[in-house]
Amino acid sequence: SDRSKKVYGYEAHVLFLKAFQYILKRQVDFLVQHLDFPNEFENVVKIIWGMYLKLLSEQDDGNSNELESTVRGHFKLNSLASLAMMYMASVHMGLPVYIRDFIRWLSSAKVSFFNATELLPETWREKLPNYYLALLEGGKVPHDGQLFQKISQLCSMTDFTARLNCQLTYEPLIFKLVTHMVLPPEFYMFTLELIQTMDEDENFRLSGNYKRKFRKYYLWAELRVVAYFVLTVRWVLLCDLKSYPLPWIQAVMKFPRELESSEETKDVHAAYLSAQADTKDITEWDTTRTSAYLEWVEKRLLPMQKNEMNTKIDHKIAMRKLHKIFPMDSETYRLEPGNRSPSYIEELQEKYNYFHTSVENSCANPNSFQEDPNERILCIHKLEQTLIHQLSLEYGCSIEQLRVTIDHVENNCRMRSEEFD
Amino acid sequence: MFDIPIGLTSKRIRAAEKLRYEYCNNLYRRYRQSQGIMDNGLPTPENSATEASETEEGSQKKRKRLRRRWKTIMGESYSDCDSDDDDLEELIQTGDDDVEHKEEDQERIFFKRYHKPQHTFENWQTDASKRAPIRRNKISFSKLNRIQKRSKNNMEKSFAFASHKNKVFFNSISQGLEYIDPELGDTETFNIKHIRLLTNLLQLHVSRHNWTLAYKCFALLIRIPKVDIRNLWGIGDRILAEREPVKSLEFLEWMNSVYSSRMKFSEDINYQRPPVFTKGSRDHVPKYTVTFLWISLISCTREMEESGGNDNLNEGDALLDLIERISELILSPPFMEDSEIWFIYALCHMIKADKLSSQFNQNLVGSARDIASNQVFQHIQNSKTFLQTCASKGDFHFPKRYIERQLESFEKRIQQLDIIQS
Amino acid sequence: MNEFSLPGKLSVGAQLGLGVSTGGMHMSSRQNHKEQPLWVEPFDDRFICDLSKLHISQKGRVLGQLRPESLGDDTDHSQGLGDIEDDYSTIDEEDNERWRNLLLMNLNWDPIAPEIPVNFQPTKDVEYDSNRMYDVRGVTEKSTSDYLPTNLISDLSESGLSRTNAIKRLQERQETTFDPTVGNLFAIGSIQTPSDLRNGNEQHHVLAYCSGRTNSFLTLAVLKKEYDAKAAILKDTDIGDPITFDFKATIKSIKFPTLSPLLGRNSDCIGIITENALHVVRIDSINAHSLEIYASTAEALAFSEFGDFPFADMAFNPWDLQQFAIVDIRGNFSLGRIQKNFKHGSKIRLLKEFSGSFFDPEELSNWKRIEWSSSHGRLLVMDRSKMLEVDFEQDWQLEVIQAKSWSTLRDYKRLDDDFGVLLTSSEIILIRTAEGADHIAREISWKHDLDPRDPTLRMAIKKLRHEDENKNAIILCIFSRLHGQIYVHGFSISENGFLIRSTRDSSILNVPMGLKRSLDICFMGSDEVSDDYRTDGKEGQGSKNLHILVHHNDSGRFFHLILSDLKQGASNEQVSFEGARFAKEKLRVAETIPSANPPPEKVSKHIKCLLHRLLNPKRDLQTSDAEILQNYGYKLSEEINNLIETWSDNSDYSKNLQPLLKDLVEIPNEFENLEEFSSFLEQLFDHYGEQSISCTRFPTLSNMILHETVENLEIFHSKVLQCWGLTTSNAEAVTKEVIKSLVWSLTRLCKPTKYEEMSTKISESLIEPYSEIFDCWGGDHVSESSPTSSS
Ligand SMILES: [Mg+2]
Repeated sequence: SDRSKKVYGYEAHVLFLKAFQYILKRQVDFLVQHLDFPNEFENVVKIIWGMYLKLLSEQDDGNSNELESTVRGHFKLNSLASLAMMYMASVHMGLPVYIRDFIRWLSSAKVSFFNATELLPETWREKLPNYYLALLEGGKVPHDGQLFQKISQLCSMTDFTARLNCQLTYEPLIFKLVTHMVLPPEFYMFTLELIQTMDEDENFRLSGNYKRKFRKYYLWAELRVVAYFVLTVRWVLLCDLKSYPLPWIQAVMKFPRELESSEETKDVHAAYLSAQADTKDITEWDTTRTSAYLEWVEKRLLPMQKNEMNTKIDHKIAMRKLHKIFPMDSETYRLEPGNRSPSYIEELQEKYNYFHTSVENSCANPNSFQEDPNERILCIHKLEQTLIHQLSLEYGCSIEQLRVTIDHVENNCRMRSEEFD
Repeated sequence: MFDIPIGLTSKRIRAAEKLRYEYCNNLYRRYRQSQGIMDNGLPTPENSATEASETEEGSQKKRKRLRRRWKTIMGESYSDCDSDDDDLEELIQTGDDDVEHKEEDQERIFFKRYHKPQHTFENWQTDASKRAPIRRNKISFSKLNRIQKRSKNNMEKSFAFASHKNKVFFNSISQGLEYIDPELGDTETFNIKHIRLLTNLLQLHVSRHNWTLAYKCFALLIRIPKVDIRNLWGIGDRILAEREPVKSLEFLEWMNSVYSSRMKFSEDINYQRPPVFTKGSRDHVPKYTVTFLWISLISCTREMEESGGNDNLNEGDALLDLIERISELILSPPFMEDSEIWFIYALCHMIKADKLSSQFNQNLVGSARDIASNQVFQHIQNSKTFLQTCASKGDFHFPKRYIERQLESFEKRIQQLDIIQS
Repeated sequence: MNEFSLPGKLSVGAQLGLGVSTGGMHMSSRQNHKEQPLWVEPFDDRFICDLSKLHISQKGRVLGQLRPESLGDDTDHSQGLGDIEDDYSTIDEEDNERWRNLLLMNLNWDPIAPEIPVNFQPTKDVEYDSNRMYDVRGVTEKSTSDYLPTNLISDLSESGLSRTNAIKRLQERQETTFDPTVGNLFAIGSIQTPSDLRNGNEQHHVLAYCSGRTNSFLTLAVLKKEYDAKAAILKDTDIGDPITFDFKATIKSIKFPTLSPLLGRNSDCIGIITENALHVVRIDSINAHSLEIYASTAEALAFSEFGDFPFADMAFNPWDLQQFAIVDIRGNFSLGRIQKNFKHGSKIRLLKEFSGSFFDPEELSNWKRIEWSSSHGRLLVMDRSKMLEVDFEQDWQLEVIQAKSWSTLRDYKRLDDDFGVLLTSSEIILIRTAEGADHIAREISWKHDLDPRDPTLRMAIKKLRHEDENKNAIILCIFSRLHGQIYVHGFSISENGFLIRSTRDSSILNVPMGLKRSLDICFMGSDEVSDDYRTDGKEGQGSKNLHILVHHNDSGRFFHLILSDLKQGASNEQVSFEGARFAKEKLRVAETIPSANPPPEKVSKHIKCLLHRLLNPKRDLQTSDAEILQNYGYKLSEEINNLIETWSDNSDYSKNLQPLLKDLVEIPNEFENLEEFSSFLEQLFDHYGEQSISCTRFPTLSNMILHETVENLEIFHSKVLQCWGLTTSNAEAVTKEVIKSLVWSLTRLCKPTKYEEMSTKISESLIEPYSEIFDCWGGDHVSESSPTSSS
């Protein structure tokens, strides 16, 4: 029966590594074919995977339990590890792709992560024991900085920092943050300026420094860049009263609800939903938002559902009849092609126009000008909270982790500025 | 916020429940022993159950006098903590029966003592003969503390292996506090989070009556393999009733055909979902069947209403098919015993009689008239007999006088015309 | 139509749910009066208000703290109450004061001092020896504060010890266990003092709530009479000035008696259960215009006088003003009497002969509830898994409900002499407790589909008179501590109490502030049946307004929400709350919000000059762009050539496998013309393309940045300019700067063959099983084709 097919011990260990490599290859193929990654990307990922195998081969002295502990123990080779390897490869090649993009792809079910074992050939799936299958299956969206931890784990195990280029190119990341938060271009220059004057480049390297109760979140390169970005926004607004009055700040925070959203923004919304602990505001969703979510469920969530292994034939027939009683709209009539959703850049232009017009008409009436500074500071504080909340969701890290990083970076800047004068 | 339509159990929840049941079983056993009742329910030889309450006070006083005397002799050094002598006592007593209890599943032991109802979520007792005299002796702290300490001592091993969260769980429930499961809304798995979101959206849009979105949510939910339609059929029926009423009957019929079951209801612990709205068994008519019969009866009367009086008698009308279907149903077990099904059957005949008698055309004469009139009488007779069988089941109440008045008025409609005729 | 009750199973009644219907009745005698419905179904489609359109109307109001400032109120300075509807819940955890407590409570050192229970009480009848004294007896709330010297606290918090785990662990502890005996910490009841009775004026509505750091102060305030009539928003002028009692122990629940209509009057006392005693406050008189309250309290009944366990719940006898019933956390219950007047500090007496116990060893939770059932001798006592009906007159008790398997009991509220509403984890059940019947009967139940594992479900009910249909409507609000949503459902009872029906579905409302945890909700307005809050002028005709008062215990704030079923304006219109004129909310901003301290001097100077340089760049025009790029090109090609040499000879993992152009040669930055620049790059990459040196082409990079392939820099620049064009003055130059820095950070060279070499090198270095795995990286060696990944 099914029980007998399972393999255990060393053979299972080897089969698990094959399965992991198989899934990694499929995910890399997807990135290269669908998301326009360069062709060398596959080789670089293969090299990093080779380095990991090299570590295993050095440890492998026949008895599998010591090996087992590395593969299944604390440094476990789980579904996050494949993402971490792809990220390390993109950092080495200097591609403008970051942790928030990877987390968005996986939590909006664009890249097969939650149903990774579906990719495996049938025979392997039956052979692999359940605890290995569970490792390959991504259960939860990474939270509390799990992906960062996994990356530094793998850096230390494959000695990535010594062998390949671990310097993060942060300029495109800042550009993406500035455009995503609908801010004017000077914020890009300010952030870059702040980083380059107040910090050195080697602080923005993937670090292999890894501990179980890791607290130095500011060593995570990307989180450090994000902290600088948030800090810059706060400081620029605090010290430049003239060009950024209160209505300007309130306009930044207004979220244009009725704008038509592009594919990427739909993914972002879906990713937010998957990451947020509790979605208490669904009662305030309007129909466009709800139908956008339902459309995402139909397009992404349903195809990835695993049908139960041992459903009997008549259960299948009954289900088919039920689905006839409750047809999906897409089955009943061909969805009219109608309005294709706008491209990312068109939507961005809309957002900026919306931002500009709301600044215009709120600044138009002069009487709103003598606002008291307290309220402006409070609004800056709230803007920062929104940024932190949103970025912590995008980076799969907790709000506290991001706050600790920002505080560290702020102290760092204050100390450096004392040294200068 | 809402109950998600899949069996949500994780290893941690099962382990926590296991701890709770084990603790409850221990408490139950310790309490009965302190009441002087052996495990098998017989009173311990020296103090039978009835006098247990009186002598129990006496033995406690005796023990206290003994302790006080020891204290005067030994002075303060004699630490008279209750637990010392209790442990001694306990070692002798429980040496034997503890081992064999551990292997058997604690939950099964717990539910051996209680009957799992099918028709309702709780057991409702209305039988006056089951009244017992008011229990007057209050539980005291020292007695409760002793029971709790002993029960916890028995559980040291399983408590030691429990995970951190389950330890917090056990400590809070043993102090009488209640535990909010951190899983509620915590970072759940990707699939469950979206199932929870879809369920909340479904309930929200049904409550706001915007049926298109509710329909979409429902159609998506039932296509997720993990979701069990038996937890959601009511909402599906409600949506269809608003969008396409014909299909709602078809859906209930589908439910009835796929999920009707003759097997005996098993109270085993593997079935965690309450059967009230989700299942049927040999002696419990499933809710979707009852709802199906009621709604088809109501839609029959609505159709008759709309088509007015003009449709001729013998054209195959829906009510006759329904009567036909119920007559087949009541031959097999769950429906045979169910008084509500008999009541619906009687109601169908009453409505048929009402229809026929109101359409009874006066200028019929001779045999055609007899046929029509005893057709009406036949239906009236049927509905009376079925009302009797329903009343004989004894657990159904219906407005008897009102229905009898109706039946008489139908008969009158026919007789009056006879009197005028003759 | 109302003269008969719907057919249904005797023990079960009408079991309803969404889309689940039973037991209708055909009205065949319809011919004579046409408008009667064809079927009397167990659903009432003409309910007093349309639940599907029920929403929280714009008129809601935040009342702020109702507690007087003077009582050493904990320094809660949650930020200003302006437009807070998009407020993220994380903001109110931000203030430093609270964070320091989190840290203090959470250092995992063992408590230095022994755990002496706060309310240490030697019990009377049990003789204790010395070391038993320190045992913590069934004290419900384990005190979480540990002792730490203040100087240790201050330097610890400065040292930037990470906050994450500390807060997470405390949140875990705070959020996972809760004390079920804590009932409603705020209630509105109607009080009729003896002087009111004498000169026959109407009863007063009294608002009772607890305040203070440990909820040990009870505050009573009287609602003005005329407030009821205009059914408008509660303003601070509508409430008399409060009177406060200090009970020196945490208040667990506040109980207003609901006397039976037979007595024709309202009671004048309030029962308060604290952690260690039962207190009864009697309101002696209320001054008609100044709304002064003169009240006296009886001497507290300590739980040690009744038994060994704290009290869990109490209820006043609806037919006898001086009698009450009490139950403790382990199920011992008893009746008791209070004196007519509390002049000389009269004691509260317990009637020992009317006491008993329904202790169940298996019932672990402290939650107990006691209520009067159908007659003055009959009581309903219940815990989480059972409900008993106890008759002191005929001396019997019967376990009427046993909820051991599928559901647990959550809440029970007595509606009036005939009905009570029971909330279980899966159903709302209307119970008939009418006189004369053997036991309580289950009339109608509604499956509410709420999460059965949420132990904090509670309920507020209200009975409204539906004039034109001459029936009564019951409205229930179910709320929980875990989310900010309210579940509203309704039942309707015909005049003679026979025809009982439920609404076809319920309504889900969201308390706008999304305040999770410890919400207390109760209906405004007196409990009499007669008043039905007709229209309030502007809301237009016939809208049924329901006024509820929501009290958020953590912040002590009150929200007065109006539920109306009038068609709402824009569907996602946020509830905008007027500022709380009421509360003396001081906005202390500067030192509380850490981000308020300004950036270092140097940074702000730097930012100003950078902004200046960006806005009006000076440009020395001597050399043309082409020239700049040209001599840069020469320098670059030299560098690349000797780079190629380094690549060809050694093939170990040299760090610069993908060097940046800007690392090779110092990049020129003064050129302006992007067209020139992109053509220069094109030539460079084509030239080196032949020597198998590839580089990251711009179209692929642009796809990763703007999610669409853009051929060259010019188009990229124009697209980005469309976004930024309006926002800054000289957007043209700034965007150019940005794009140049982007391109320089991205253009890299690489030799793909190097990677092949490296991977072969690695596969050689692997031992047996791993090299075989590694080699079949590309190969699809598995026979059946696996499903391709989801596109
Ligand atoms: Mg002792």
